[in-house]
Amino acid sequence: MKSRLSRLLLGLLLLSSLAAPPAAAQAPPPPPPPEAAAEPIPHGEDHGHVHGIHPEPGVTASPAGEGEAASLPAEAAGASPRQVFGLDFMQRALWAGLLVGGVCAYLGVYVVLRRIVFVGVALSEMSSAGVALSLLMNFSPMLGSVGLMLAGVGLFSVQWAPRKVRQDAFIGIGYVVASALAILLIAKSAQGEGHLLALLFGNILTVTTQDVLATALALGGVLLVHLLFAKELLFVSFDPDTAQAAGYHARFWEALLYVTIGLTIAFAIHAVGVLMTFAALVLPAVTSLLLTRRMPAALLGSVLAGLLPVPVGLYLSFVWDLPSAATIVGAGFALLLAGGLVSRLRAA
Amino acid sequence: MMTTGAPAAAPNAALGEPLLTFENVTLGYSKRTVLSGLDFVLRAGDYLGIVGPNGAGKTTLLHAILGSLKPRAGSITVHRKPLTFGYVPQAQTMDDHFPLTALDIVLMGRYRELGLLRRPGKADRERARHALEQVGVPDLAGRLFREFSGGQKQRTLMARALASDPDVLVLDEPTNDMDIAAEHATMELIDRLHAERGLLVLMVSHMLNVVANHVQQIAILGGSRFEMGPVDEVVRPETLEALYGMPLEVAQFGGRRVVL
Repeated sequence: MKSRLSRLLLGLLLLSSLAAPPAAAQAPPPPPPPEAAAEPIPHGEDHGHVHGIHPEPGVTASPAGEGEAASLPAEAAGASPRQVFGLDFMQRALWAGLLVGGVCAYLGVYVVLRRIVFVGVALSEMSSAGVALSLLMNFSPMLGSVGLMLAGVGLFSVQWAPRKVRQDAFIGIGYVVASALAILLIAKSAQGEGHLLALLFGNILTVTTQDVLATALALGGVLLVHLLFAKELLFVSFDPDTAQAAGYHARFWEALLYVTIGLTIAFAIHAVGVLMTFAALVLPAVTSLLLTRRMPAALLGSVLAGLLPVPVGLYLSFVWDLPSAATIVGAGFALLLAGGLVSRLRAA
Repeated sequence: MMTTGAPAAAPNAALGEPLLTFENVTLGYSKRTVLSGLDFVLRAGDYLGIVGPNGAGKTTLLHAILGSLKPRAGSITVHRKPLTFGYVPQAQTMDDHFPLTALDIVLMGRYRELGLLRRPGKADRERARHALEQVGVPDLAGRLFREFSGGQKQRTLMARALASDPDVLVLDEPTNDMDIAAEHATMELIDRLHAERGLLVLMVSHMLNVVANHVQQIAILGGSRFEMGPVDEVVRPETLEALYGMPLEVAQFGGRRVVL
């Protein structure tokens, strides 16, 4: 909650520094001009409002601007799931959300069990700083995101002063420095404000087919690594000292775990934003750990709890005209509350 | 310097066969020397207790034996390659959040032999169940580790070490935080495993009165001093006074050695 609050505060601070009044960020943007079909809609400016992207029912347009025709129903509030997910941009959002929701939820079990939730936040901030750097230096945002994330993994793996200061303090330093760096770099970038807002709030609705494919490839690779080396990652996560004594290079396997988490965060942020990415790392894992008593069940349950809120949240955000990522997070939190209630009732 | 001796292909060492030799070894971290002048040989079938007050360097020595800490001076020779360690960490330091059963944990002892990309099969599960039987808790196999008592956790971790078919069984404070009954049962179990399997058993503990009544050899660390030898030679008032810096007596009570 703390990090979410800090993100919102950071977002508000940034908004207040923009030329446009903050209220403008809440208002739906005007309908994209026809030529905008070839350009992605600026990220973040509408916080992912479905109707902000399609302000007028019946307008045929694709928010991701891929030229694919999709019609909104006459009454969005009464639209059926079939109608909603028949829209191209909603289909892409659904796929991106399911990919991120499922894989982040799987990794989230390790993140929560190993108590490295803050590492996840710090790595996501490093990724954001990498995007900011790429905007300033004019190279691929994904390269910047992955590059700084890997630098973060390297920095967090070093025991800087093990006898004097605990490691989590250095992770905290990484977090604040990366956050400040992102803001400073964005301040020097002519085109960066919208990108930073997208990183802060995310916009799953503007995800492109290319984004979905790149995310599928990267997260598929991460999942494959975890399935192939499940026993090594589990052993080192549970008991690194014994794994080291048994001949495993514990630091290598820990670094591999961090790299897979970092890569997932970097690609997930690019696709769906920080808010949903971080929520997918934490909420489903906690829900599942409350309800299950075995590791395989915890992993499977977490994946299911990561997938379910995506269609539910997307659909509700459409029919109620709400920000999509926040609605998905809300659905995930509702699931967590239900899981917590069931867990309490079982224990009683 | 860590050097490698003649490799041996046989999976189990013969009793008395040298496994590890420390020659004038100095151990420490960055600029701080923790232990120096370590000269000893560890052989298959030895039963050694490493004892000393907190901060004396027991864990440092343990890490050097396990190969995770390189000596700052001198050499550590490993006479068998690979030398398999069955490490038993302190039960109370284990993470209680992982939803793992005793069988899940004991199976980890099989991972190294399985290698990469292979998952434990039926034979591995049988080995794991057999290891749980050896430590007297076969009924715990399907139960969650986090719900165990300290003694049950210790036995599960010992079973995991045994499941790896080790040359050396290394126990870190095996009776910490145990009541006297659990402590007695745990020490009896370690004695039995040593006698039955002929392993080199190394036990790190700060509980001199417990360890001195079970092991054959003892290494006592105190200040920068290090004394190692048969229990009768080392556990004497003059040696202990020099190591602990206080007057101590060694008495016999009910057939047991007691340091007062």
